[in-house]
Amino acid sequence: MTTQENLRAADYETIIPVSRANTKVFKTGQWSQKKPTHHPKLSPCREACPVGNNIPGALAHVSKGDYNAALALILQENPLPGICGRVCYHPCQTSCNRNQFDETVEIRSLERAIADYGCATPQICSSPTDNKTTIAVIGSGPAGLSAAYFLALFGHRVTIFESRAEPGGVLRYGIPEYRLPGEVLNREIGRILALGIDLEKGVRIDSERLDDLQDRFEYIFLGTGAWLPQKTGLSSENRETIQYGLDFLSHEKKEIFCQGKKNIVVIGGGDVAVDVARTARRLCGPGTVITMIAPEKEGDFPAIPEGLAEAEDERIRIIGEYQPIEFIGNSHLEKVRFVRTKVEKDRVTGRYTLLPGDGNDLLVDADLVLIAIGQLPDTGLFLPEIVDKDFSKVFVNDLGMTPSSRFYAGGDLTRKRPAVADAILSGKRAALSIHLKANGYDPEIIIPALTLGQGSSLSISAYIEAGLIDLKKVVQFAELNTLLYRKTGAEHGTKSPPETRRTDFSEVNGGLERKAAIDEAKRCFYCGSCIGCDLCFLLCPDISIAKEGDRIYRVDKDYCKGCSICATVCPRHVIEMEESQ
Amino acid sequence: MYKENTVEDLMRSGHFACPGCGVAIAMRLVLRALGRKTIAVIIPSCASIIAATHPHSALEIPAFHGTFETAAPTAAGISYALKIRGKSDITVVAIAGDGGTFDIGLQSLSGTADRNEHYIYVCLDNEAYMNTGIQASSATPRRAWTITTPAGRSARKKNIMEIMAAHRIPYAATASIGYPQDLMDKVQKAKGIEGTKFLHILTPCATGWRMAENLTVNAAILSVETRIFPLYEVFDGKKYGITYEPQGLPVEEYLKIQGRYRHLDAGQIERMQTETDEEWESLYRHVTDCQRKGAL
Amino acid sequence: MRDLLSGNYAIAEAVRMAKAQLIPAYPITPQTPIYERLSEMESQGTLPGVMVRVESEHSAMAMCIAASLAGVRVFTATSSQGLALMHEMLHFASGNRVPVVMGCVNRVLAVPWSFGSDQTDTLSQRDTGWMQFYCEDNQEAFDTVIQAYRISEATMLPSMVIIDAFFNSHFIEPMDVPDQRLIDLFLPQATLPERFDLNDPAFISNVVTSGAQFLPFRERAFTDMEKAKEIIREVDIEYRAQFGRGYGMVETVQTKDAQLVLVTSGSMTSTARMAIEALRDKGLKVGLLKIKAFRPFPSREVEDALQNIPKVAVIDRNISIGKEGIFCQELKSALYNSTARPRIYGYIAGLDGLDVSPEIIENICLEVLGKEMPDNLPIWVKGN
Repeated sequence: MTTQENLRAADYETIIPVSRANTKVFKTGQWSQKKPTHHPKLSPCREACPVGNNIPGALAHVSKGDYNAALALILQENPLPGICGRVCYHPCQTSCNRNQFDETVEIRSLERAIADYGCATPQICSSPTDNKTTIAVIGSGPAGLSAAYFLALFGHRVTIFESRAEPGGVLRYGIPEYRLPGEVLNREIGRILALGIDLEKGVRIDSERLDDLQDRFEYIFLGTGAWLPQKTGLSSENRETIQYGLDFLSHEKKEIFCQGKKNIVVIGGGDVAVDVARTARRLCGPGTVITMIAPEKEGDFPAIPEGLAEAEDERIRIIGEYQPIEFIGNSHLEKVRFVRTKVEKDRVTGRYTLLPGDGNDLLVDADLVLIAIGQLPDTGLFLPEIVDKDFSKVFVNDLGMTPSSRFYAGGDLTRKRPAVADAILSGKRAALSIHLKANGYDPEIIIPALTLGQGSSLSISAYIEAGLIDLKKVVQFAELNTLLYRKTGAEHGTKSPPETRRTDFSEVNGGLERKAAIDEAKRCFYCGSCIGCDLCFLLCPDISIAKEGDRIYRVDKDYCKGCSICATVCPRHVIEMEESQ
Repeated sequence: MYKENTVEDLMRSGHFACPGCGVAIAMRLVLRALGRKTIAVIIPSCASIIAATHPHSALEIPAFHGTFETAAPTAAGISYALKIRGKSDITVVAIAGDGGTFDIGLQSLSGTADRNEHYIYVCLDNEAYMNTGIQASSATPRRAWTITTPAGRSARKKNIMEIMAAHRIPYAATASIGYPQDLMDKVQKAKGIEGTKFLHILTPCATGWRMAENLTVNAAILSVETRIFPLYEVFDGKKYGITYEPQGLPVEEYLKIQGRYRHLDAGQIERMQTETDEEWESLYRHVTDCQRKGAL
Repeated sequence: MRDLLSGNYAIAEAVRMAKAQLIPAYPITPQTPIYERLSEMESQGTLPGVMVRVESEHSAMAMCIAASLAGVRVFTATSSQGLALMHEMLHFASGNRVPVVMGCVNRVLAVPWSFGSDQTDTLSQRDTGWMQFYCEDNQEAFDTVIQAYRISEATMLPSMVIIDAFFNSHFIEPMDVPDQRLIDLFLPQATLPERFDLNDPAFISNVVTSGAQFLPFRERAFTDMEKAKEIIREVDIEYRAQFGRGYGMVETVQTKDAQLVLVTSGSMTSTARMAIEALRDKGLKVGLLKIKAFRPFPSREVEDALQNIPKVAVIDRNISIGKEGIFCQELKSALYNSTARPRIYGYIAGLDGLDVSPEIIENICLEVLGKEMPDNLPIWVKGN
C-alpha cells in the first residue's frame, strides 16, 4: 500500500471537527427552577353562568363549525339550551372579558345557535356501579325539568308530576311565543323525557297524594314555582279591569281583557311586566296606548334590557320612578295615580326598599291595569317545618335540601332569583345532592368543590372530569395576552320589524345564521381554555414542550429554561409558571 | 395549527441559547418547515453557538460552520455540488445574523442573489452584534441603544428587503416569530421556488434589547402590529404583497417594553412614529402599485 | 499531442483534463486568461465542470471549500490582491482539509500598483496550511496541476500551483498535452468524503471550546503535511513513469563538485540554467538548486543537495520587508541544525517582472565567488 492510499484511508472524521453528539446530554433545564404548567382555568362567563355552561369549550367547537360537539358539551351542564339561548338574562355577557377589549361575545345567541343547529344526545354519565334511587319531581318548570334531567343522567328513576295539561310550567304558560316558540320548548322537553323519565300530566298534588309519593319514592323534589300574584295592597285594587302578570299570560282567553281597551297601564319593571305589556300590544293592536311604569329608574329596570328595547320598538311607553297609589274610577277604571318613588338597595341583604321620591304625582289614563310586580309560591301544601312563617317560600340549604331530608326544592318556590337559568341551577344542585347522598358521598364536601369561582353555579362536568380545570380561578382580562386578538364588532341576529310584531306572536329574534355564529364564536377569547393553538409548543426556544395529542402538551423539565414565553404568549392564560423542586 | 405528519422538529433540546432566545425559536421553526432533506450553513452568530460546539450538534440535519461573510456563497457552493452530484431534492439553507447579512456578508449575498443561485438565505435579525455582546450593526434601528451607540444609533436601519428586492430574486419575505404559521408557510413557499430566496426574520433578543426574557415573542408581535416590522413578500423583486394586515398600534407600545429605547423622550418617540408611518406608506405604495398593475 | 500554449492556457487545459467539477472564478490580471479560457471551453461545451462567475476571490474560495466538502473536485485561480483578499479563506480551506487546487500567478501587491511578477503574494500565504508548487515553465505548470489533484486528494490539503506573471502566464511555449485517456488513468474521478450526509448528519467545523480540542486538529494537519512529502515524491515518480516527465520537490544541476550553488524558483530557473552553463564553460564550478515545493518545505532534499557546498547564492523575486528574501530565510532555517552549513548570500532580483538576464545571474555568481563573507542584508539587483 502506498503512502497515498494510507492517507486516503485515514479517518476523515478526525481531521476536522465533525460533531454528532446530541445536545440533549446538557440538562439546560437546570438553569432555572421556574417551569410552566398547563393549568386550565375558569372563564368569567362560565363563572357568571348559573348553569355553569362550558362556554369557551362550546364556542371552540362552534368556531370550527361543529355544532354537534358544541351541543353535546352544553348538554353536560344545561338541559334547556334552546330556551336559555333565547330568554336568559345572560350574566355571562356582562362579565365577558371581551367587554374590556371591544364588546361582549354574543354568548346567548351562540347558545341558541348551538341548540338550534346542533344535534346531540345528552351524555349518560352514571356509572353502572352507582346506587340507583327513585325520585318524584313535582312541577315541570325549569327547576323540575333540570332536576329530572340530571337525576336521569345519573341513572335514577324519575317521575315528574305536572298539574297542567302540558309540561314546561312558566316556560310554557309564562313566557310568550314571540320570545320562546312552543316548538323549541317541546323539542327541549322531549329530549329530557327521552332519557326515560315518566311524566304524569294533569295531576295536582294534594296532601294525600304527597303522602302517597313519600311511600313510593325515596326522594321528592319540589318545583312548583310561584304562581300567586303579588298585589299592591291598595284598597282600590280589587276589580275586573285589574289583572296580574302570570295569571294574564297563562290565561287561555286573555284577549278578552284587552278587547276595546284604549289605555293600558302595566305596573312593574321585570321581565314578566315586559311580557305582559308586549302581549297586550299584540292583542290590542297599534292604536292602544300602553304604558309601563315601575319604581326603578329607567335603565335600571330589572328586566333584560333587550326585551325593554324591543318593547319600546313596539311603541310601549316606559316610565320609571313611580309607584301606584290609587286606582281611580267607579264602576269603570279611569285613571291610576302614581307617586314619585326611589328604590334603595340594601347593601347587606340585597333587598330593595321603596322610598318617597321628589316630584309631582302622575295621573295616567287607564281602562286596563296589568300588575306584574312579583309572584309568590303556594306553600300551603307542604310540611310546616320546610316553609317559612309567611308561607312565602320553602327553605333550602346550599345543597338544595329542605329541612326535611327526603325533600329537596328549587326554582321560584325557594324565592331565589326568578330566572330560568337560576331555576336550572337549583334543580341541578338538588339532583347532584340526591345522587351523592344515594351513593354515600358527603354533598357538603363535594358540592362546594364543584362550585365555579366565587359564584354559586355548579359544573356537573367538573364532577365527572375532576381535575381538568381549576374551578376556583377565574381569568381576569389583564391576565390575557390580547396582542393576538383583533378588535371586531359582535355579530347580532336579525329581528322582525316592529310593525309586524304588533299583531304577531311569531318569534321576534331571528338568531344568528350558521356562518355568523361561527364568526361570532371566533371572537371568543377562550379565557382559561386551551384550544390547541400550539403557540406554547411552537414558540418554546428549547423545544421543551412536547405535543402528545390534541391539546395535550408535556413540559420536559430537563430542558425548560423557565423563560416563560409560553405563559406570556398564551392568549388564553392557560399556562402558569411555578417553582419546581 | 400545524400540519400533522408532515413536520417534525429538527432542532434538539439542550442547546445553549439564552432563555427566551428569539433566534432559537426562529431556527426551530425554519428547520421544522424545511424538513430533514436540508443542509444548513451557519456562520458566526448566536445561531452558530446555539447549534452547539464540538463534538455536539443541536441539529438533526447536516450543517457547516462557514465564515462570517460567506454564508451565501458557501450555501450556493453546496447547492452547486449537490446539483453536480445529482441530488436535486435537498434544500440548502444559509442561516446568518444581521451583522453577517446587512454588514459583512452583504457583498457575497448580493453576488449569489445576482446569480440567482439556488438556496434559501435566512437572516435572523436581532438588530445588533449580540454574539459579541451588543455592538451596533447597520440593522440596529435609529435611536436604539447598544454598547457602541450609548446615546442611541444615529443612522437608520438599512432596508435589506429593498436591497434584496432590487436583485429581482424570485422570492423575498419578512417573517416573525410572533406568527409561527406564517413564518413556516413562507419557508415552505421558499423551498418550492428555484433560485435565491431571502427571508428576513426579526428575532428579538432579551439580552441585547434590555428586556425581560419572557417578552421576546410579544416584542415580535408588537413589531408587526405597530408596523415597525411589517410582514410581506416580494416576488421577482416587483410583486409586493402584505401577508398580514397589522393593527397599526402606536410604536410606543413596542418601544416601551425594551430597555434599549428607555432613553427616548416624547419627541423622539413621535419621530419614531412618523418614520414608521413613512416606511409603511412607502411599502404600501409598492403593494397598491402592484395591485393597480394587476401584478398580483 | 504537441501544442503551443501560454502558462495560463496550460493551466486551463490541465483543469479541463482533470475534470474539475466546479470552478468559481473572478478576474484579475495576470490570471484572467485562465478564467477566460475556461469560460471559452465551457461555452464550446468542452469543459466537464461548471463555472461560476463569482463577485470576489473571497467568495470564490468560500464556494470552493463548500463544494469540496460536499464531495466535488474544484478549481479556482487568482493573483496578488485577489489572493490577499482570499487570505482568511485560505486558512479556512486548509482547516477544513479540503483538496482545493488553485492556480496562482505571481504579481506584485500594491502599493505601488503594478502588474509584474513578485512571489510575495503567494509567499505571504506561507502559513495558511496550503501546499505551494512553484513552476518553471508552462509544461511544468500543466503537469503540476494534474499532480496537485492527486496530492491534495490524498493528503486532504489544498494546493497552489504557481507561475510567474507574464514570463509564464502570457508567454507561449511548445508543450506536450497528454491524451485524456492517460490523464484519466492517472487521475480518476474524485472520491472525496461527502461531509453532508442526510443519513448520518453532523455539524461540520463547529466551534471547539478549548485548546485541548484545538491542538490535535492542527497537529494532525502538520503531520499530514509532513507525510505529503512522500506522497509528492510518489506521485511524481508515477507521473514520470506514465508521461516521461517529473520534477521532484527540488532539482539539482551540477551541484556535486560545485563551489557555489545558485538557488532559484519559478521562471528565473530557466535563465539560471543558461548562466550556469556559461559559467561552467568559463571553468567555474557553479551548480543550481531549483526549489519547486515550498510547502511542504523539502528540508531533507535541500540538505542533501548542499552537503559540502561552501557557498550558496539565493535569488529571490520577493521580499519580506524587515528581513530578507523569503526563500533565503527558509533555506537558512532549513540548514541551521544541519551538517551542511554553506555561507548563504541573498539577492533580491526581478521584482515587478524586472528582467533577470543570464548576465545578471553570472555577475551575481562572480560576486559571490569573490566575496569572503555574506552581507547581513540582501543585495538589491537593480538591472543592467
